Amino acid sequence: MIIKELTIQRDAFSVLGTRPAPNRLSIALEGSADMRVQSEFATMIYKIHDEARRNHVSMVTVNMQKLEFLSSGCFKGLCTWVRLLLERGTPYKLCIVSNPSYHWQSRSLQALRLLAPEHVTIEKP
Amino acid sequence: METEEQQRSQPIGSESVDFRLEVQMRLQYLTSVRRTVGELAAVVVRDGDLASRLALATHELLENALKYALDTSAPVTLKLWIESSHSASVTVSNVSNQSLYLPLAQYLQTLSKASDPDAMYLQLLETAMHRVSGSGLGLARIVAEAEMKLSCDLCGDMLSVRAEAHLGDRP
Repeated sequence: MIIKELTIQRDAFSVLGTRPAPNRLSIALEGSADMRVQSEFATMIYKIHDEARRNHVSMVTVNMQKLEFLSSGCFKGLCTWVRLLLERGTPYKLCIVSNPSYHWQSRSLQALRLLAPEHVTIEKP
Repeated sequence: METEEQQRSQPIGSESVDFRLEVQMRLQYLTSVRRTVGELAAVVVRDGDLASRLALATHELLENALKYALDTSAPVTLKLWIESSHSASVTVSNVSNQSLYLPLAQYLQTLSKASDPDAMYLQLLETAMHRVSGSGLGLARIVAEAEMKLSCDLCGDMLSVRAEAHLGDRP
């Protein structure tokens, strides 16, 4: 089921939020996230976090298989997300599905995971 | 069709590239320019990872040039230089001034002097988690993730920031 509030569709970047099971959220990122969507992406992360908490979600999967690029400004949004994960009472964990053919992902996501290794996992399909 | 592994095993040869682009930079051009650099570099160096590092540096340097532009109508120059089997660099030049240059030069020196760049980057990420505005990560990302050396100079009112990788310096 598509969650309209967790969806962004812009020229070069999109976010699609779905609920594959009652206690799960799936977020698919596609395209290139740069300065143009930085603020919107940051707001979206708070919305996803709120949705996950409100619905007692245990796992949020972020699919980056079609994410060609994420600028540092948008990458900072993911760092903020990790801070939210580390807050007391956050019930869910983050599973990021990466695409090894986008080489930047392996370094960026590894660095991100180091911020909260018990809350963030990186999967290669 | 060659696999990436097969392509990587081939010698780079004596091919060099000096690609220059001068453009009145707009945000909507970023992706196209990054892709162009990545694709061109991949053809020359036959190393998808290095091409991706050059593309990342291109994007971050161009975003900075846009963010700190003193004159948005003045052109930004991008230079991609690949010297046969030795090194590859991306240089972005734009109109700037001494008061923007000095803190930048100081920051680049701090980044280059870090005894453990990965630890420093992790610290910057931890700081970024709490920042309300700006990420402060763009240049550090080039050093830590793309493993490139950064330098800058100001010639008149033209600021140039250069990211350089030595070929074969990464496992």
